[in-house]
Amino acid sequence: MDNQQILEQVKKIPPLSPVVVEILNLINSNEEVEFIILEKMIIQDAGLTGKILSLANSSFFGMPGEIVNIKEACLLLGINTIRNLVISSAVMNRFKSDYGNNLDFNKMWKHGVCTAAAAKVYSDKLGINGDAAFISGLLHDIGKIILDYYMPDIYKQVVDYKIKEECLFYEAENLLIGTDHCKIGAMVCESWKLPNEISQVIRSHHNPVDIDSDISLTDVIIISDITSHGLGYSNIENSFIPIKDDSIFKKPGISLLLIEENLPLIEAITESYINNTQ
Amino acid sequence: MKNIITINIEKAEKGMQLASDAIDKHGVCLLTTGNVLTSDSISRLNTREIKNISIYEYVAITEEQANKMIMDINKELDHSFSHLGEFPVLNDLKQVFYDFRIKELTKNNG
Repeated sequence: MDNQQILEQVKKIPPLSPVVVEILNLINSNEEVEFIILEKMIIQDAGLTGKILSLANSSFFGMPGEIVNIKEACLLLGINTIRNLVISSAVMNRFKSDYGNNLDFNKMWKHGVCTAAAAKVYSDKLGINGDAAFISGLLHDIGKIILDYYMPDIYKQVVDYKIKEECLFYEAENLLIGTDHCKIGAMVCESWKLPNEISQVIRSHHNPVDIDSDISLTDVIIISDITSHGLGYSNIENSFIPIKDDSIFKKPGISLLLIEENLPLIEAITESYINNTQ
Repeated sequence: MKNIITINIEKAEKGMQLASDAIDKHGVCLLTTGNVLTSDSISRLNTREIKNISIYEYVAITEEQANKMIMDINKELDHSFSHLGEFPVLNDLKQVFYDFRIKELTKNNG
C-alpha cells in the first residue's frame, strides 16, 4: 500500500456520531450558542450525556457535585470546556472498547491524558489558550491510533522498524509509508470537523522548533509530550523522548524550572483524570 | 507501593483513601479523589446507592524491591534520552524527572 492508498483509506474513516458532529458544528459556528439548544442536542445521546456529567463533576474541573444537568454544565464550565468534553468522550467511545493491534490503547490514552494535563498547566503559566491546549494534548497522537486501528498490518511494520532501528515513530512512518501520524491525525481531525487550531498543532508537533518566533501552542504540546514521557506515561515500551535536540528550551518561557515546579500538579491532574475516566 | 483497587461499598472502612471520584447514578460527585473515608462519608455513599468505590491500597515493599524500582526508573530514563547528543539542559531535564519519580516512590512507601 503506497502513500496515496493510505490517504484514501484515511478518507474513508467514519465520521464521529451525527449527534457529536451536530454539536461541534453548532459550537464552532461562531454564532451565539443557546444553551437550551445545545442541551437538547447533547441529551439525544445518553452515553455522551452521562460521560459529560461525570467528567464535569469530577475533581478535575474543580466543581465536584455541583453540576446536575447539561444546561448547568454549559453555564458553569463554558462552551469551550463542553466542546472538549464532547470531543474527549466521542474519541474515547470510538476506540476504547475494542482497540489494540500493535499499540496498547490504555498506554496511548494515559500518554494523551498526561500530555493534556501538562499542556493545560503550562499553557496557563505561559498565557496561551488552555482550552485548545488540553484537547490538542489529548489527541496529539491520534494519528498513531488511527493507523494502527485501520491499517494494522502496515503499522506492525512501522512498530517493528521503530523498535529495531531505535528511532522515533514519525521517522519510521515517513520512511516506510511516506507519511506520518502527525499528518494523518490532522487529516482525521479536519474530517471530524474539529477546530483548525487543534489539527494544526497535531500536524506540526514533530516539526523542528522555530526558535525565532513567539511561543505557540505547538511549543506547549512539544514540552508537554516530553513531560509525559519523562513521567513514565510512554505510549510504548522503550520509547524515546520525542525530540532531536534542545531547541525547545530556547523558546521564551520554557525552562527546567517551569517543568520542575509543575510536575506534582501535572501528576495529580493526570491521575485524577485517568481514574475518573476508567 | 500504591495500587488502585475497586471494592464493594460494604467493605469500605474509615481511613481508606478514594482513588477516583464517587459519582452517583445522576452524575453527581459525592466525594472527590484523594478524600479519606469517615463513618459519615461511608453512610452518605450508602444512602446515595453507590455500589463500588476505587481506593488506594498501599503495599509495603522490601528494600530490595524498592532498589529494583529505582534501577528500573533510572534505566528507563537513560534509554529515553539515549538518542540525544550532548545537551546539558537535557541531561538536567533527565535528572529533574528522575528526582521527582524517586521522591514520589519514597513518598508512597513512607
